[in-house]
Amino acid sequence: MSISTTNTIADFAAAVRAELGDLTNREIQELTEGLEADLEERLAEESHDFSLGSPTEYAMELRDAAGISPQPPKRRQVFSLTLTESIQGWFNKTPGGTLVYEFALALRPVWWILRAVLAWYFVFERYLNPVSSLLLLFVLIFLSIQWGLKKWFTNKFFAAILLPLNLLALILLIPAQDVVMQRLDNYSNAEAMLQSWPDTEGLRLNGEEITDIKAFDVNQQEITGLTFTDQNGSLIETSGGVVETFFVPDILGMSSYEASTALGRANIPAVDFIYLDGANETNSVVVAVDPSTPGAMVTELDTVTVTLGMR
Amino acid sequence: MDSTQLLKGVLDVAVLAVIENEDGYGYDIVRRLKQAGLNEVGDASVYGTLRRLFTAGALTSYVVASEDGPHRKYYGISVVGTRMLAEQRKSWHAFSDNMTTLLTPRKLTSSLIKKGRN
Repeated sequence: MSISTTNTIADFAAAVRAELGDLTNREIQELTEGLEADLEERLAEESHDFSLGSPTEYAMELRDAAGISPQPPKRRQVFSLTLTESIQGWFNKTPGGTLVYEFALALRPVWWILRAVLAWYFVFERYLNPVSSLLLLFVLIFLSIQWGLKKWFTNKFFAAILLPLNLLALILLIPAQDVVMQRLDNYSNAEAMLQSWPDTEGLRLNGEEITDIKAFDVNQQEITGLTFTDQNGSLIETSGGVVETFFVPDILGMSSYEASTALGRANIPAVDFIYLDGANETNSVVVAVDPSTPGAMVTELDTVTVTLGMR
Repeated sequence: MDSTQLLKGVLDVAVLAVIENEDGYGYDIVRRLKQAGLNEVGDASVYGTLRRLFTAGALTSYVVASEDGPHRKYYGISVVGTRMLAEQRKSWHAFSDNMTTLLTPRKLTSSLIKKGRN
């Protein structure tokens, strides 16, 4: 047996007892004692053919058979109660209707939360600070669930205002839809804006990334070997990293071995050795260097070309 | 003929009859009545009748605890109920005989037809 069916039986029994509300508690107990158990047994036997029918008619049949006079006309008819019972009775006329009704019953908790959120947004949210507002939202959800579970607010006044309030909440769903769509749009726009913003990491000038920094003296001569720090003493590095520079030593006339050693000491990272006709590692001297100027500066990305000829 | 209306008048005796030999709880009694062919009987009518017969002293009741489900309220027939059942049986048989006689096609009709021919 499903939980929703159990709820339906409990709801039905409660509605029948409510119909007998003008009798004493003892009379109601005598008439309805074991009602839930009997209905559950019927459900187990009849399975798909089981339907509860109208609690109002059931209560009338009970009264009639028990020889109890019909309920006196109500001075104030509670419209919400009768309409709810009518709807329930209409659905429960057929097994298919019972299925739809039970499915709707299973979704009730979602509605309880939704109507609390609607009340919070349209009535209270704008008048409170964010913390109080959020707290109130949780309180409203709790109260709405308690009301839905029939734990609290069970007297006839609340039963009578339940339907109008639910209808109002349904109507408020229409503007709420717009609000939700607007919020979603704002969120998408904000996200798009964030994505379109330039990357803020690294060293930048007017939004453009700085990949290299050079320093020059008053004579427009480049000063090398400098390091830069910010106001906190942290090293400033370009996003491309620091490109190291090296001075090419004067190696003209040196043997192949001497030239290799000198270039190694100067940390020149890449060297091409070109041997002219007949020259080799043992009989050659450096006849040309590119870059040719002694003391020229190269970076770690450059290659020094050393040409060797016979002695 | 609306058997539901007929049933209303005899539900008391029907209920007393099905628990004459064995006590039963609400739905159990409904089931016994249906098994006896009274398919039109409504649950609420039976429960109401049980309450009325109990108030009139025709039934006794007691609660049986159940480990699996809710407790069950059983009804049994009392001395008053047994006497009531005996009287209603007698009334029913008399009524039933009269109705059967009334509704049975009369042989007199055919003898009258013969006389008419002569």
